[in-house]
Amino acid sequence: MATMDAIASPPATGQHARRQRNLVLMLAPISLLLAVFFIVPLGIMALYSVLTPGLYGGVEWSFYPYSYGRVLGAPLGAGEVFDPVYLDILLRSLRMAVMTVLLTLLIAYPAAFWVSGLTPARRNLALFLITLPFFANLLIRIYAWMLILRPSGVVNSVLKELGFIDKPMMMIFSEGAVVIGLVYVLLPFMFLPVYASVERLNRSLVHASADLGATPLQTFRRIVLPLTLPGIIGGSIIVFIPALGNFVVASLLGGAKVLMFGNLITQQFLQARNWPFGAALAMMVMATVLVLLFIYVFKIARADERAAGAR
Amino acid sequence: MGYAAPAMTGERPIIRIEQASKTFRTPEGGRVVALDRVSLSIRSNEFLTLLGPSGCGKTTLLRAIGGFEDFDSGNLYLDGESIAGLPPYRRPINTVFQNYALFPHLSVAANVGYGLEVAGVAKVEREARVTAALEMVGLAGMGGRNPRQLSGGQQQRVALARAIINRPKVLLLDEPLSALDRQLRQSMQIELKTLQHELGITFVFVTHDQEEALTMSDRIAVLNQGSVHQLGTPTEIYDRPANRFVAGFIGISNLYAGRVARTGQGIAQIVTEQGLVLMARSDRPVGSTVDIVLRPEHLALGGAMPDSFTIAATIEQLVFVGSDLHVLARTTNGEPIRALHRRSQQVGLDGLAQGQEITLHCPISAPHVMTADIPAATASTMAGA
Repeated sequence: MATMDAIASPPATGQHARRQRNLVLMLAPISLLLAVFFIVPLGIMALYSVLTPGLYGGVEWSFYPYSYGRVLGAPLGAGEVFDPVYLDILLRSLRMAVMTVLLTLLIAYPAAFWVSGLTPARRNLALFLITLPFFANLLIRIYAWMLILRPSGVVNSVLKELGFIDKPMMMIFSEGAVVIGLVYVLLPFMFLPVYASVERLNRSLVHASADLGATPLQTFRRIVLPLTLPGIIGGSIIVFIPALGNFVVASLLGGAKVLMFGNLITQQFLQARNWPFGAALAMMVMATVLVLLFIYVFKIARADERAAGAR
Repeated sequence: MGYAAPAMTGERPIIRIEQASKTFRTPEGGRVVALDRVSLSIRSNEFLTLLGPSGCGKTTLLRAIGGFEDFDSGNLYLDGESIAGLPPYRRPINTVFQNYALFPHLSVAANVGYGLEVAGVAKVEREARVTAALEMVGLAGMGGRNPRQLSGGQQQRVALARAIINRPKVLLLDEPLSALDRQLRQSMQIELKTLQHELGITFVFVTHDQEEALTMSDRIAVLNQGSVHQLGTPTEIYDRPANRFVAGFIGISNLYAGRVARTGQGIAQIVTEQGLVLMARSDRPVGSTVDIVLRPEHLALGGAMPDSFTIAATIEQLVFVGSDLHVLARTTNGEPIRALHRRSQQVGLDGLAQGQEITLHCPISAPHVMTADIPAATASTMAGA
């Protein structure tokens, strides 16, 4: 056995080493990129979040855990005051991000079925149209929404002309307006992964389900939904994260009234010039997202196992 | 029609299709006639095969029975009641799909039990019936597996178990064996036939494989270009094909177009286009144009027989297929002719050689005379081998 191994292993090891080297070479650029532009800045943020704020921005190099205290209540010291408003803003941001996910899903899911049923030429046109907004600058698109939603905007003038309302509705600078803006901006991010999974769904499975006596609703629940779930999960994650951190949409369509967590962080860095507090807020958002993601993925994995195993 | 009914087959039709037509639009704006005024009665408990080349309408017909396609016009009855327009899930008909269509996210047992589950059958009964169904198709103990872990043949069995567990009135099978290798296909043919007898369910089987159709069916409906060319038992279809297309599609045959030259005592002398003279039992009048099918196994190489005629030919090629020898020859008139020679005990090719002149003996009862078809475009002389 030992001699066999001795004979067999040298070429195998050579091949193995070569494969290993290729892998390292292929992964080197992305690893380098992530290290320099992601891990290092993140490390700096994490470090800053526990340093003493400098008087005019920047940091002083001494340990200072109280930035977290302002949000969470403890530990407190050195003049920092616990203010529940930060938790409120976090909760509101979460609520709006969840709303955004649900609305984009509600719009994208049926649309994905419709697009996947088109002829190839029309399908490509539809996909092109869906990605078309990316060609225009985000700020300009959000400004367009301001024009649509403001008191003298398109919606109000049309409704007034038609006699449905007497005086303009206050639509802009509300949570609703921000959610509309977020849905508008993030819709393609939901559509594309959902479409990919809907497209992959084998239609003969739907036929088989109907053939075996399942009503359309049963077929949807037992076959279509479970099989397109990966796309729904993927879309939800990549919509949820930017929705939670977004500050452009909130500052334009939400004004001073609807502050999202992203706005808060921006303020700390740019206006209040309290870098450690901004960094602490950013860390908390990241922690929240990670925790929620873990719960979500874990639950989905469990549900999948149950579906595959128990029945 | 002299149909010898197996004991279990009833004369009452379970499915009746009347004057069914269906036209598809192609993406290029053309129109394809899939079914052209098809009428067909399927008897209860029979094994009926819809046989034909691709595009003949057999799959459209099957899909219409399953509820996945509507006729443009025509009627469809199940047990005497019209079921046209009824959605698939309201029809007591189940299908074994060509690609099996097993649910990839469910276990084998969950796949098989799916029909019962959506029907609200209680868990205890469901499990018992799933176990029984898996046993029936030879997959006992495989319930916990994922369909992807199974071989093609096993997946096929899961699809079968899943389709029969609801105890449908009719089971539709859409070329279920086409993805299997030859050996497995042949054993599955026998198994399917056995299963059909055990279950007492009407099977409607779609295939383009004539051998498969002959092996399994109680009756075969031969379809081409959207219409039924012949409906009959395998032997009827093989021995007395209705026309040139059926004769060419089923088995190996020598097909000739000719005219009746002389008649007498119920025997017709027929001269083919090339001038080959054949004798056949037929009472068609002199001068009528006919198609003649002559099966290779009826042509003997040696030994005169009573009530037979002879054809002189030259061997062009010999094809060795184990027990038999296919003799591809050409008559002195230039007609190609194919004979099947059963090899005797001796080793070798029985002394036959390419270029050798032979005399073929054919009993007068062997050639089958058919009404001449529309031009021979639909069938070639050697089709269906």
